[in-house]
Amino acid sequence: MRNYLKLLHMEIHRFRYILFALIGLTALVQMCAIAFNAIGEVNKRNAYFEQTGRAPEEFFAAMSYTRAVQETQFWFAVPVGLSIAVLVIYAFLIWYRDWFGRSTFAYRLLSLPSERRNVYFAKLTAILTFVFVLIGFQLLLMPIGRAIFAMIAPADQLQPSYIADAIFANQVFKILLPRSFAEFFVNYGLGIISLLVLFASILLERSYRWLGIVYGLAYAGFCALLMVYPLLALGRNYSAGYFYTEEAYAIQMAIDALIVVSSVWLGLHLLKKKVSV
Amino acid sequence: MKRYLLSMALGVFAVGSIGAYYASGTEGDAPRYKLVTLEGDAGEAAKMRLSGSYIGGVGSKALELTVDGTNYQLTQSFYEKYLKDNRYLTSRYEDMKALKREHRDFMRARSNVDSFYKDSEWLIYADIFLYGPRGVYDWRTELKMDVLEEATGRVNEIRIELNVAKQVSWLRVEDVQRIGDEVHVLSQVRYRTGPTADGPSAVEFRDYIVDLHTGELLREAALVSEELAVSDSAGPGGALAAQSVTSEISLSAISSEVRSQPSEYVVLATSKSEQSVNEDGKEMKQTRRFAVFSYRTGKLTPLPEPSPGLSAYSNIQSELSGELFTILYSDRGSLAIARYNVATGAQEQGELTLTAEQFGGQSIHSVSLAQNRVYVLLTTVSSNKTRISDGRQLAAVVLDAGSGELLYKGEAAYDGPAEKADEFRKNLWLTNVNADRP
Amino acid sequence: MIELKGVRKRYRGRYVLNGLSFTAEKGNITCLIGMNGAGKSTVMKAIMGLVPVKEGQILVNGKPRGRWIYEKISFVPDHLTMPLSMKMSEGLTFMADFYASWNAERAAELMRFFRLEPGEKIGNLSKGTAAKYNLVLGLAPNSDYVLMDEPFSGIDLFSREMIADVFSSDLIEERGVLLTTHEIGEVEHLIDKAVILQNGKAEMEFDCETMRSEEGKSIVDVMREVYSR
Repeated sequence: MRNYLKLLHMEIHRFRYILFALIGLTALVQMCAIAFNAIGEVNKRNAYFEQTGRAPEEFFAAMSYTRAVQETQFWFAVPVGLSIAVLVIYAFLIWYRDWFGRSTFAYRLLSLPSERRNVYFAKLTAILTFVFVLIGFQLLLMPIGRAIFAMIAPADQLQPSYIADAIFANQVFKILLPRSFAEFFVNYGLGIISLLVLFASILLERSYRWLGIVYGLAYAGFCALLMVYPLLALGRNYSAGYFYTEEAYAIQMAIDALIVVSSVWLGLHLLKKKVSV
Repeated sequence: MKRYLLSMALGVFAVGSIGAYYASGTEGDAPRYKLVTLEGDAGEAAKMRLSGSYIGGVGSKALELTVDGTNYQLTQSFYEKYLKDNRYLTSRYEDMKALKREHRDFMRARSNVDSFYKDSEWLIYADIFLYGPRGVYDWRTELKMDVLEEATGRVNEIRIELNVAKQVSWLRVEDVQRIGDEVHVLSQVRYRTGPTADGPSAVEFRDYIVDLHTGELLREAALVSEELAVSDSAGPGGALAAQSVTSEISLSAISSEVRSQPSEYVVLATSKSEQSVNEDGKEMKQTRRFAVFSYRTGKLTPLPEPSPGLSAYSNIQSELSGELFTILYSDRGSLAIARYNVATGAQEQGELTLTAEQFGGQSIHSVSLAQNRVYVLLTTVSSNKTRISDGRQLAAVVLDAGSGELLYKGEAAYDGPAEKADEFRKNLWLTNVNADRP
Repeated sequence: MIELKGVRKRYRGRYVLNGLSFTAEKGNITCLIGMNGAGKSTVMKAIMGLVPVKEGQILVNGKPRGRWIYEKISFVPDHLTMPLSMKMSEGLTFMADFYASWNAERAAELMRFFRLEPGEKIGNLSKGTAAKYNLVLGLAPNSDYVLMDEPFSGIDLFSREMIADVFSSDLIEERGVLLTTHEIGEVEHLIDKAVILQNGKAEMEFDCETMRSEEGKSIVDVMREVYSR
């Protein structure tokens, strides 16, 4: 356990600059988008007042942070999309960076006196930590954005906004930060399953090289088919299906559990017995 | 420990931030509403569901209001969307849920609620399948009837090839009933009368009578038959006719509201809507005829025509409960109820007409008829407000379908500080009323 | 004793090791000699469990290998095995974190001996300095055996002398060393035992001292004989 935590820390430590860069970029882009949006709104109101001499409240609705988030959702989504892309790439790199280059850290990691599974779980949880830190930071940015918006908007023209509403003004957050925790659980559960399958495929490649690429793709494809099979065969638009909803659900859960167990087992087995530097 | 500070801080931050978000609730400014009882007994409204949206903030949030309070409809998760959808039969109806508990295997893969018959001795599911043509004239229809004897638990699977001489284009089982040893499978059949698919066609009810024990088709009878006209608005030579009439006919069977209880009767409805276009513009005319069919006697008895005033109503709902057949007519200003005894074919008491004002409303949004109750969602207006939208107040009323007596009246109100009540009341939009079926 | 018995290892359809058997004893410096591609590095990786071996046995102190051997054997590859973003001192901390056999005092001593700057980033090290740092990582633990893959290749003269000094010091004395090299002349005087690899087998395994005194042959002489057969 101690060794696992040390390795986890080491993995987080190695990624820290990229992680901070993503956090910084997200903050910069999103907060600028909010600020520019607020300034634009204020300017529109001032221009109206200058041209007509009438109070802008007559013509414009009160300024709302939620609406600002809705209007700037493209700029909110850009750093989020970039972060996702970086993390997906890093899910590969977290393994391959130890095998390739001037320094092959894999030699060291594989000859540590602790269990090799610690290396596997450290890399897995490191990726998850990055994901949840970025998501957590996104949540933190929302009230900060609201404060920035409130500083720019005149107090008498500002309408109160709720963070949860502002989050839902953005289409991307509907998937990343769904309203119900159950949905959050399902979305990220599927993400974690994909990551486990990816790790198993990477380790297949690392163990069998060229042939391993074929094995890896086959394994990933097989898992994908297995996962969507109940959705296609037992669920959707199939009111007369043989299985009841709860049975279809149980089958799906069993398949998911099977993929989790088999992917983790395969990954650990390969790392312990088959992988080579 | 100090050098692990970064990792620990990041971990605590992620868990804390996401945990706080979900712990603090994700409904934002979505307020709670309640139904305040103004008159009558709230127990009468226990099965009533008012659905609509909260429209404050940006966008709207779907919600459901019952006497128990507000229920915001969360979006469904990926799995719910794909696995729970469409399996409504055994999740929506209480009696079907009970049947599923009792006869789990028998109830598998059943999708049509009208295909069930149940009494203390027998549970029957009958469906008719239309098999696609291998050749143009090679349609095949098969009646599949599964009969479960409660005493033994044995299931008899009856398969009957139906010799439908006509070219069936569509069919559906509308009702299944047992009279003695005879099982009646009432179906609606649409078939072509012309040579081409888009040519003339006709629709009818057919009653297939099957022996419960031998599984033989004893006889069949056509009940109501209607020709469906081909819409033809262009006059001879392609010139646009000065006047054209398009009519649409639809048949429906109103079987006993509680599907898992036997009923000797079924009400067959023919609805004909005519749209005429002339110099004055469009005109819609709708006529509805009802007839009671008795499975025991095989007699089809037309119900008396309603008074002309009722046929002007645009919306209609009906229900067969025991031997009482109720028709609920409604539009924005008022509603009317006509009731018939299906055993005698006579109208019970007089027709009942109730205006929205009679129960303190301004306009009716939605009505629902269930189990001898009429549920009404309406707007009331308090007179001391200057603007209409400021005074808009949503209320729900439950009436006895027989007497029109008001059993419950409740008002939708903000469940929170009184000073905010007005502001939040305006952000509530309810559009539908429904009642849970047994 | 590290003992290999009939080890076979396939790589790209060819047996790189084809029934290899030899031993390396504690207190001896054993040298694996072979031409390029003879599988010298593969032998070391196989001992360290860095490549899987399906056939044959590898025993350490008479027992089958497991993760306990990583406390007993240190491996000094011919390239860096620490993240380039780490400082040298961080690399030492990493080792101390994971190895019970790590001897921090000796590590500090070696750092001083090789005149390595702990604050320097591993990514900035030249090839010679990197080799010295690798030796620090390999020799600091209190391990019974040290495996060294080409410790002298591509290293400048002064560094070589420094490394050679280490070989004759008490840092090596008590341990068993298994090293590979293709420039045998350089280290001939240090070696106790030689194993000549050919066609995936140990073509010859002999004590250098005995060979010299009894047959009057140097290692290079023996190599010539073997390869000309």
